Amino acid sequence: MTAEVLSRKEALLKLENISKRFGKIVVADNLSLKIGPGEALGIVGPNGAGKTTLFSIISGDVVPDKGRIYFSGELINRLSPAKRCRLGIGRTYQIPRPFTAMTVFENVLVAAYEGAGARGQNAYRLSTTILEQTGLFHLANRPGGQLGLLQRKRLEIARALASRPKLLLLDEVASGLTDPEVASLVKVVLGLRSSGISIIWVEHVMRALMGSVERMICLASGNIIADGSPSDVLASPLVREVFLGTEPDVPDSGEVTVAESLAPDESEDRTSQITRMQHSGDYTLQTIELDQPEANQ
Amino acid sequence: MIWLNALVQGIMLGGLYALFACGLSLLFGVMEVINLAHGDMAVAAGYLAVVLIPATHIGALWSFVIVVPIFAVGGYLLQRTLLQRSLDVDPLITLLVTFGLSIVLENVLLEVFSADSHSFAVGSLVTGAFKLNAQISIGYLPLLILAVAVVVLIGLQLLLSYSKTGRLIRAVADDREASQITGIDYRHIFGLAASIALGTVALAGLALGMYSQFNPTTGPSYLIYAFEAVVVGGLGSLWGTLLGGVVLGIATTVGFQLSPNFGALGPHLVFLAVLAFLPRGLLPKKALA
Repeated sequence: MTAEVLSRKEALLKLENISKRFGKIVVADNLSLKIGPGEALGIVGPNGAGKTTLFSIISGDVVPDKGRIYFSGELINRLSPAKRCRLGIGRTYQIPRPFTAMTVFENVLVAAYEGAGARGQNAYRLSTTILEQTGLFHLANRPGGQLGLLQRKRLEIARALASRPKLLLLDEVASGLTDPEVASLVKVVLGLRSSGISIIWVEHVMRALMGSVERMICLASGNIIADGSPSDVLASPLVREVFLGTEPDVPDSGEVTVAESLAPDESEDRTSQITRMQHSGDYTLQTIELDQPEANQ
Repeated sequence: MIWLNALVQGIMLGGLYALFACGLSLLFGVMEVINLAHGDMAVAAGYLAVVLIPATHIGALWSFVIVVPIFAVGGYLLQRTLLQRSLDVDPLITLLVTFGLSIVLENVLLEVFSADSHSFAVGSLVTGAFKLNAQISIGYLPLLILAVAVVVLIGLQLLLSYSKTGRLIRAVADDREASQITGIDYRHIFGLAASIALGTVALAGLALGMYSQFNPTTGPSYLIYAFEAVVVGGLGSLWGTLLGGVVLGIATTVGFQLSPNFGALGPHLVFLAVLAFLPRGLLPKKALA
């Protein structure tokens, strides 16, 4: 199933020609994207590529300059973050933002109340289930501000889940964690996938992403420069160039198109589709593991 | 024994201060709005009762049944219109807006009710007292006001800790932006918090009207005490606000005992001392909890 065959109604989330710039920095450049129900999409890209901003545009924290956002066929451009959450868009923050003075249970409970619209005992039951699912139940009465990093990341996921999302936006939930912690987190995410939730996962930790998503895009300067299976995307020369910081053979001044539609027929062969990339300045070198592009596929 | 009496009377007076301060504390704790019209709103509640008591033949003591709901609804509307709009522009604008509101309220009250002082007749409650011994007697009214203050503050604390609304208020106070991604409409929650705060302001205004006289310009002087009680107790902490009110009350009565001139100065000196040595207040707390 490719995203292209999905019409607007079938796509859970559809971004149409989204543009956003902060001053001179372009974080989304006429960007279009579709996610189907149950699909898991990984997003990679150098720092400043617009990954987190893309999440903020989807969740409603940032208003795009141009473009349309559809969720379940409904135009949601003008809806507040709270309304989008109630519609079924859950997000986590890259730097976890628990309600520090509230207990872990209460953190999840408020999302169950307002995000999922649960009442009374149902809200309590939903919160308890989610705490068990995310491995936080034993910490239920600990204040959110007293959690360690792994637990905070889990709480971000738990709070997003408590709003009963159809689409979950995970923002670097694996970064900063040890290998066993990443493994246990991946297990949580795989558990979610089996329940049918669509996931968009921004991540630098490739070993977390490789086994968890079936589709990957690479963002650079607000453009999608690659879209396909994780192994194909990571094998693409353009992506390697962006990540490894090798200089493209063009001058470094301003916005220059370095590659124009490498794949001749975009709609046919999405996996090798590399549209174009606008280069403006340096890319930060990322610590990713490009040496095993086929891993876990 | 004279000093013990001053202490007891100070605790009683502290009830009035604490009742005054809790609306201010709540508004600041939840949305970081410093309501400079706080004192004038309390006085306005007093004048509302002045109008309502003869019109409805309700006893002064029971006027809160009408005045508090009116103020609660007014608080919600005020937040959703004037305060939210200024918050959206810049949180500092709320200072100007509430300051302006204070001036407008004061002058409207002057225009409508003149500068005459008012007070409520609550019969023997004002004069009645029971004697602990020869020197110490406790007035019924101050005791009632203290009891109301304690009940209001404990009630607020319980509401914030265990009710759905309270938890939503705490979440919004904790992180307004993050609360949005849990589906909370923070503007509505701000409105509810303002509604509760203005309800307590109305109670404070009625208590003031029974305790002593008020006129259109009384508000700001009580705003000072409320403000000091909040700071002395610790910003954002309701228990701290109760403690702060009592500390200021004691400073007032002990000051009067030292010298009549000292009564008015005492609480301000305590406030300065707390600012100098315990700038985070007696019961510092990070957020409403």
